[in-house]
Order: sequence, then structure tokens, then C-alpha cells
Amino acid sequence: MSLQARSVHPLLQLINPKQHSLPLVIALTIAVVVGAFILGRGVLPLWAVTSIGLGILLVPASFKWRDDARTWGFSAALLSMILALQGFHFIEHAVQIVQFYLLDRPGVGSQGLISALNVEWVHFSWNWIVWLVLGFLFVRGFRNVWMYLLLAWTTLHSLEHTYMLVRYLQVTAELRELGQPAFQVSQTLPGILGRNGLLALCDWCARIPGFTTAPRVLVHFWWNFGEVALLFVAAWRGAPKLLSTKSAFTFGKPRL
Amino acid sequence: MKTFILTILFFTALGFAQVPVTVSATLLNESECSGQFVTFELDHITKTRGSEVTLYDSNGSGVAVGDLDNDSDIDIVLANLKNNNSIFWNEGNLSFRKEELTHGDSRGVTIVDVDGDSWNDVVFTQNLGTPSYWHNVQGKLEYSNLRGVDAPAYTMAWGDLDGDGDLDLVTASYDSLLEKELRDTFLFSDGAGVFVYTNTPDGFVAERLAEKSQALAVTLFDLNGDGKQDILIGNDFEVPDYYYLNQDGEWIETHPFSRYTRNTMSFDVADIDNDGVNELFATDMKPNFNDLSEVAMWMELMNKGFNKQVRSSPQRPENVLQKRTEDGFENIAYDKKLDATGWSWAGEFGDLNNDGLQDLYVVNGMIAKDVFAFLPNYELVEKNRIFQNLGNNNFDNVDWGLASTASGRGMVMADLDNDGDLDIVVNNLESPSVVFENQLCSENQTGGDALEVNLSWNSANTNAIGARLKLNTSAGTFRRDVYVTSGYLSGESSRVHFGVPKNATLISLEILWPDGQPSNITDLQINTLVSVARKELP
Repeated sequence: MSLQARSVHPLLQLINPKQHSLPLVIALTIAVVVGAFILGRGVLPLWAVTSIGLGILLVPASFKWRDDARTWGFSAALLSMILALQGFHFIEHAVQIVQFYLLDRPGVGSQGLISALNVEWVHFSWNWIVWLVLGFLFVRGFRNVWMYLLLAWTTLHSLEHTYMLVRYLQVTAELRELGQPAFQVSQTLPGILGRNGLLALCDWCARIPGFTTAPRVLVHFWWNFGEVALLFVAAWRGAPKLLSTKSAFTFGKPRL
Repeated sequence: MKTFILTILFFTALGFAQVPVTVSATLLNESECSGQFVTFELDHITKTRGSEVTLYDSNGSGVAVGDLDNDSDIDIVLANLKNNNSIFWNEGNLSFRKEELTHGDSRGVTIVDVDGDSWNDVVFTQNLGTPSYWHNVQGKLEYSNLRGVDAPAYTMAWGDLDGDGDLDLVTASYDSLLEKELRDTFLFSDGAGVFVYTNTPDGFVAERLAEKSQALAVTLFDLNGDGKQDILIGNDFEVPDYYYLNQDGEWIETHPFSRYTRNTMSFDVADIDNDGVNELFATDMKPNFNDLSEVAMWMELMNKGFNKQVRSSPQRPENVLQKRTEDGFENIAYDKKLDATGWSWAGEFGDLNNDGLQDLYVVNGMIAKDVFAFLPNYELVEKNRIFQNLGNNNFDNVDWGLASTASGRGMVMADLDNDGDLDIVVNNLESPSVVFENQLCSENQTGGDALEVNLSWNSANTNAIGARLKLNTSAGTFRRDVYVTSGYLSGESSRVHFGVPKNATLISLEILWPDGQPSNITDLQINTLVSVARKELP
């Protein structure tokens, strides 16, 4: 089957669930119904319900990614995965924005759907894993100008999370010395950018609207918006080539 | 002090009517110069009543400065909670003689001539009751009361609010303290709140502006630029501050700020950019995020309450510096990096290095078992912060020997040794009060000279409180107002200090008296204390 013969853009082919659409819809329905039931009964908090829902969705999604690997190769499957996962990650940040700006919740109450995962370790690990995946794709030949920009953007984003993790660990060590428990809630310590961030505090830096004034929740919304936007454009430009040259990393027979 | 006297009568000048004044000038002393402030302890420790410090004894007490014996030396009065209040009579050269006032349990203190007899009196706000009044009978203080002032008051401000030539009083209560200490007695009483007391021949006449308040600070500040002093009440515990406009004898509540403090600890009014318009500074509590050991001490508090900040709230738990613009007030504290000074109490501007620009000093720290049980001695140790004004509303966090870690509460600036620079007095909690002698002079080549002004007026408002002064020099125009209350629970001297940039020449001193009458004085000499006495026209 020739890719050029199709009118659908390769990226849309890649993210199309195809035969997994029905299982995904069923999984989503189950996740919503079960989640609503649990939330309605007040048995579990929102973050736990969201995690269960994501776990249910992960079953058909993993079959879809397996098939992507068989069809177009490992690199394409990775791209498919990163698009889906970063997409959800971005939704999480968009939810935080809604909580903070529209629902007028405080920073500690604006932690998205899986608030329990809104801790520095998770942010740090997630962003560097994304960086590694993108780096792998880059090494495997997934290169265009947007990919260069995406890698630069992701590197800076990950460095900010590294700075935040280091400060988190330092504060935690200080708390330990005071006999106090480590704090788990994110949205507390500023990073490099934003209100009270390193850039805002340094002696020689001037105030730059947004860069030194935005609250943390907004700073990380824009970090992730930029990352998802660049990822989508890079994938749009790079998908035709990626899907036409099957990766050496394959699992089983391709289903064409 | 070497003295020479110029006596000049000014009737008219520059083509407009002026009130007659008598001017005399006295040369200021030479300042010692070590390049920094030198600390002297005073024999006064503000102690709390229990064996351990808890809320709200933790709020400490204030300090006031002023000339109590008319010897041209500025004396110090320190309030105390557990022990007696103290007077430190200034005997010159930073030598003080201590006298205890057989009274304590005090919060705020102001040195002010209440009865217009040209002898400054002392007024304290009490921890739980009504203000106490020490009448000055030719240098001897006698306990008395302020007739008609009947409501509990934590903080106060004095000024001629109705323009009748005598001094009126504004008080506000700190209801959490009253509820905690008095319980049912307070809850079933008429309560307290905010009062304006108008001075009349029959005593003070009360007008209640608010039935409840959590006030740590009161100041008088012209909110709408109409030349009248309006009332600002700074509340703790997320209670919005109260602002009242002075409109033809009526007090109209207003909301002039789009951003303001969440836990207002103190106010100060100063023209920090020498544009002739005063700015308003208010302190709050916010850690320095650069200092992680400090942040760790704050973390529990931040998780409990400080992070409950919602975007739509106009209040922020940080210092604010309100600057008047064409579109109203703009808070520039964050932009100028004056927003996070720690658990801040008194914050006050003064030209400490005599370069014509007013610098900022903020005293910090907290001791309370019920808040910081996990800290040694339950104490949040934070350095006091000093910000040198660099001009153009820019500030540099410097040291100058003022970064004390004692738990400061009340603080004032005044030239205690008559050497032309501002010294600082801090009333610390659970540690000795201190005088910081200003010996900066050699530190900054741009600084050096000064002019100090003492106004006296043949009226009930003998120190011309509320007067506005503009000093015109070859290096610019500098504005100061005469206040006797400032910062946190504290009272400043009615003597006005102008720092003058080196090599600048003095042109004239414009005085706008509290009744709106002008005086213009020329022939000024640098490094003098100018006494201006106003005689009424026949």
C-alpha cells in the first residue's frame, strides 16, 4: 500500500486508531461511567479516578501502538505514543489553567486531574523521558527544522524542571533538619521563569512581563503548549518520511 | 551643637501671601564616619507575659521618638508588654538616661503634643484597653486619660483631620487579640473597631467608622490628591484594608487599590522618586525565595494558608508600594523587588545616606510557639533588610550594618545625635532594643549633607503635624511631610530630615502649613537645623 496513493496525511494515518477505535470508545465509556460512579459515591478522589480511567484506556492504546510498530516500525510507534501521551499531558495543564483562571481556585487547588502526580519528581522524570524519546527519534533520522526547535524547547523545559527538582530536594533536606515532613504538593516553589522565579529574583535581571510575573501554573501551561505545538508540526513535516522508511526496530509481522 | 541664630521675618515673597514666620538655624554636629551603622543596645527588653511566646504577645510593641524636654535632643520612648515602658532621655552624644513609666502592657506609642501646650506628651495604645495618656508638665510626665477616648485600640494615628487647628485621633482595634484574651467579655461588649476622635474643648468626640477590625496599622494619606488626609486601616488575617476619604467632614469608604496586602503589618508614606507626590508602602509576610533555608521554615505556613491565594483576589501576601499614576495607583513593589522581605513588621523610608533619595529599612522576624513550634525557641530568625534607593525607583539590597537578626517590631528613624543623618531605633521582642547610629557618611561619595527642619505653630497643633515641606536645591526638589505616627505601632519625630546630595546648593524651603497657608524660606545654610516658628497674623 503506497502512502503517496492515499489522500490522508501520514500523521493522521498514524494517530488514527483504526480497528482499535471501538475498543477505545468502549474503554473510554467504561472509564467515564466507572469514574462518575466512584466520584459520585465519594469513594476515591479525582486523581485516583483519573488514574483508573487512564489505566483502562491504556489497554486498547497499547494494542494500537503495538500495531503501529508492526506497520511502520518502532520509531513511528514511539512518535504515536509521544503524541498521545503529550496530548494528554497538555490537557492536564489546560485543566490546571481552567481551575486557576476560570474556577478561581488557588495554586494548590489547581493541580489538574491527577493532582497526586503533580510533584517535582514526576515532572522531572516525565520531561526527561520525553526528551530521551525525542532524542531517539532524532538520532533515528526524524529531523526537520521543527524537530530542532522542539528539542531545544524540550531541553530548556527539562532544565527548568531539573532546577525545580534540585530546589525541591534542598528544601526537603532543610525540612528534614527541622524535623518537618517533606512537602509533596507542587505549585509551591517557583522555577526559573515566572513570579518569584530565579529570573525575577536575580540582582541584575530586569522584570520582563510574563517571564518574571506569570504564576507557575501559567508558565508550565505555555511550556507544554509550545512543546505540543512544535511536536505536532514536527510530526506533520516528518511523518511522511518516517512512515515510508520502516524502522529497524519492529515487532512481529506488519499488518498492511 | 554650635549655634548661630538667624532671625528673619517673612511676610510676603514671590508675589503671593505668606504667613509670617521666624526662622532660626543651628549648625549640626560633625558625624562620625565608619561607613556603616554602629549598634548600641538600650536597657529595654520588650518581654511577653508568659514563659513562652505565643500569639499575640508575639506582635511586640512600638517605639516613638521626639523632643520631650524641649532641649533640641530627640528622646526615645519604648513600649513594653510585660514590664514597664521606658523613656530614654537624650543627654547628647548618644548618651541616654533611662526612666521607667510605671505602666506596661502597651502596644503602640506616639510622642505628640495633645493639649497644645508646646510640651510633647506621650500616648500609648494598650494591649487590651483604651489608650493611656502621659501628660507632659514641663518635662515631667504625669499619667492622665484622653477624655472621650473609650474604645479599645491597638494602633493609632494623629492629625488635624477636620482642619480646625487641633489634633484629632484615629484608632483601630485588633479584634483577634481581644477575643482571645477577653473572650465573652469582648464578645458581649459593644466591641471595638475603627474610631475617629475629634478634638473639642470638652474632650474627644467619637465617630465609629467600623465595628470590627484586625488592624495592625493606621496611617493618614491623601488618597485622592485633594490635599486632605484620608484614613487607611491596615488589617491582618486577609481582612481587606479599610480606606476612608475625607470629604467635607464625612468619611466615605473607598477602594483605591487594585492590589494590596493580605496581612497588612505597617504603613509608611514617602516620596521615594522625588516627584513631589507621596507613595504608600505597606509590609506583609513573604519569604525570600532565594533563601531555601528560609523557605523551608515557611513551608508549613505556605501549604496551610499562603498558597490559598486565588487569582481574582486583590490581596497578595507580600509588601506593596503604591505609586500614583494617571490611572490610579499602581503597585510597583514586586517590580522593584521590595515585595519579599520576610515576616515583616515595621517598614520605613528615610534618606539614610543623605543622597537625596529615601532608602527603605524593614525589620523582620517572628517568635510564636503556636506558629513555629518546630523551630528552636519557636523563632523564625530573619535578617532585617535595607534597600538603598538608587534613583528611578530602583533599589539595591545592601547591608550597612543593619542586617540584625533580632526579632524587630516597632522601628523609627531620627537624628538622635544631631549630626545630620538619620539613626534608627528598633524595639525588638525578647532581646534588647537597639539604636543604630548612622556613620555611613564616608561610605557613599554621593551622600553627605543635610538640612533638618523643626516647625512650630502658635496653635493647638504646635508641631504643625500634617504640614508639607519642599526643599528646592540645585540637585532637585525633595518633599517631606510632618508625621508623628509611622510604620508599625511607632511614632516618629515631627522634626523633618532632608538628605542633600553633596555639592548641591540650597535654594528655598516651601512650607504648606496644615491649614493650607504657605511660607517660603530662602537664605538656607547646609547642615543646619532650621527652626521655623509661625506667628498668626494679627
